[in-house]
Amino acid sequence: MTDRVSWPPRGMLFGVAAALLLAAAPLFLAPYATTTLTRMLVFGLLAASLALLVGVTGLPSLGHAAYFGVGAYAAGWFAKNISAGAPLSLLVAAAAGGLVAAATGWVAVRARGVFFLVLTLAIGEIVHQAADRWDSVTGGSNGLYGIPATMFGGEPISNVGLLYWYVLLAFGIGLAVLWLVARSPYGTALRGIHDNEPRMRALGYPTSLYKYAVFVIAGTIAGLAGGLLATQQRLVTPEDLGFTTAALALLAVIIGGAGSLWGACLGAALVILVRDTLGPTLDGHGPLVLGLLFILVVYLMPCGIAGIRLRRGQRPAAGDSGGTGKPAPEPVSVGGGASR
Amino acid sequence: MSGIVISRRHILGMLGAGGAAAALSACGSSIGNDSSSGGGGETKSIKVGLVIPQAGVYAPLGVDMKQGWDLWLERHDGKFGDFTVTTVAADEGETPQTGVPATQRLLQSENCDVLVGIVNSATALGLRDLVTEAKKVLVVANAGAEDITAKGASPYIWRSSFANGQVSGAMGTYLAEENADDSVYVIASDYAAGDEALAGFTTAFEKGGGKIAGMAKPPFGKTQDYQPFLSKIKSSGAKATFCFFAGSEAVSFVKQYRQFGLADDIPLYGSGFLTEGGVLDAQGDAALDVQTSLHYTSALDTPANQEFAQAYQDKFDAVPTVYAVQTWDAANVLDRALKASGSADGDDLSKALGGLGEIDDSPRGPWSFENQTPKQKFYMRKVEKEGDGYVNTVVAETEPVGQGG
Repeated sequence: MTDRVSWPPRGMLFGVAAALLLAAAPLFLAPYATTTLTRMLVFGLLAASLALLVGVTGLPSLGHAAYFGVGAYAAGWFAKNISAGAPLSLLVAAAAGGLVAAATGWVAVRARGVFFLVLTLAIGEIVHQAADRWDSVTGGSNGLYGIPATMFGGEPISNVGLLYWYVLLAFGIGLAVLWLVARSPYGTALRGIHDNEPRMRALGYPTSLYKYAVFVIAGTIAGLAGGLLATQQRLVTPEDLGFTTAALALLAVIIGGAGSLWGACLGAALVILVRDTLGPTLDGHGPLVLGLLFILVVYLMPCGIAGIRLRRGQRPAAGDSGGTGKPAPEPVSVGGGASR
Repeated sequence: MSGIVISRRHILGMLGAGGAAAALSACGSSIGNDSSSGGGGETKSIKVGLVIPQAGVYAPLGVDMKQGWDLWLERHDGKFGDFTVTTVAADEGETPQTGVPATQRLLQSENCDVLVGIVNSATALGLRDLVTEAKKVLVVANAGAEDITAKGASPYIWRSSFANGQVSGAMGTYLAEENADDSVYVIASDYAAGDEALAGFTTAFEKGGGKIAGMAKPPFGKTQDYQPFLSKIKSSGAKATFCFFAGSEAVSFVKQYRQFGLADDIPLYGSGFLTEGGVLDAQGDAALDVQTSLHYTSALDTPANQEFAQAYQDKFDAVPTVYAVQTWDAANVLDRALKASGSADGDDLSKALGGLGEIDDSPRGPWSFENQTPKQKFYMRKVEKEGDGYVNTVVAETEPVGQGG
């Protein structure tokens, strides 16, 4: 899950190894494990797009699942009614996520801190309500089901391994976009906004516009992740864009270490592992274990998974983020030490 | 607290353990031929995945379903025909987000031959492609969405429970026969199941010549205070109210209906889930004289039900509910189908299920599959006090009706 990382040279090595391992996974994993891994990728991309908002820019969104869900519904509806051809539904999903983020983000990014949190929560609830009631398009609370398998070269991708590769490819592209944004001068400015917005404004940066743009980018990638959900699960329900999904994504980001894209992916993998693989076998105690695990992880690893390496490594390249006290943002975060 | 030192090694070990757990089930390959054959063969065993809610708001239903299932197996030596049954339970949770992966695990990792359970309709619909492509039989033991055996039907999905409109339709027909001149106010939670229940009732009632006085749909899962709706019912001039609520909403609605003083003037009717199982005890005296339609009541005076109810009472110290009966019957039909097919293969089993004819020994009374969902009798039930508890006594019963009939 840690492909596209970039700490030279060891980081690069890790990244390449992780990417190879991920690519080879279906060759030695049983179908169910592959399915789980696919689900982790989908949720991981959602979490990574949220990490760009939360960790890099300092916009803690509780409504990010809205764009994920909009993408999922758009992809599902498109595949069902127009075409199930390979990349089309994903493009539609990303566009839909981006458009809705563009329509709602303008209001949201004007608020800060807890107000931003509440506004995004409200947006999420409104979109959730729309999904629940707009029966003719979304299927209401029964969900949008019967989404056809994605077609590639005239053949449906029904084998779980092939589906995994398809999802992995899209995941890689999505993560690359996020990573490039975070690494660019624009990303550096976002981190500046995170640390001290008034100062950035005083320096002449159009901070509202910058925040709006990153909101739309994150929404677009969340939409893409939603498209992958529709592709993989072939079912979209209002729960997919509900508060629980948004909160789980935020928890994945926090577990991963707020500013780290690959950390968010690992956090998402952990969430899926506990919720979907261990949870159902625990005789109804799944949610409890999930809750306990979160508390433990947050308590024991205040900087998240990404923080572990930094704390121990003491690498000079890690710059000013060697400290362990602060849970949130690491300027280094995205892809590690070399990011600025 | 501050004494806890956790090293990187510990944490990596922790994560490694998680990975190892995932890897345990991970052998073989996902590429190429991914059909896996479980059970069957020489040993004559069958593995059943029981997907029921064990956590969340539906957990009480899950308990009843598990008990119905366990009781059937216990009374039949744990066998379907010649097949020794192994049951693997999984937690469906509240939503498809948990229900679908849980079922996926049962199919792909546990290699179950048959699936039973499912309370949430969206989960049942979402599983359609999964079970159809795996060619495994799923017996839906609760979820009531019409689509499951209509628009979203699959040759592998059978239902031992009901369809939402079927339950309320029975009440609509009954009320129209009793008193078509009286207008009825209809109210239901604002979500798919509520919509289907209202549609079923309204269609049947109007077909019988009845008139609807008004309609309300309180938001699902968000309404605590029904007073605005109760005022509307009062001012509508309706002679009766028909409602669809379940769980905690059923409790608050019935109680507030009584507290508001409507219960004596405008009798309350509903889909049977309104007064079934745990909610009835919670409603207490407020539920007295409420009439509902359902395909089962524990008060049913038939030898099959009395034997069942007694055994259930003895084993679990509880009154059986419709949820227990539906799962009991799921076991019952699987037993009959396996006797007929002699094979746990999905296609054979599906075919055998289609040829079962009438199920004559069910606690709910005789029923049969029609379009893969029960064609069954409905009972008009009235809540009465019996000793310390409350019971749904039978007022009338219908001829067997199918979905949409």
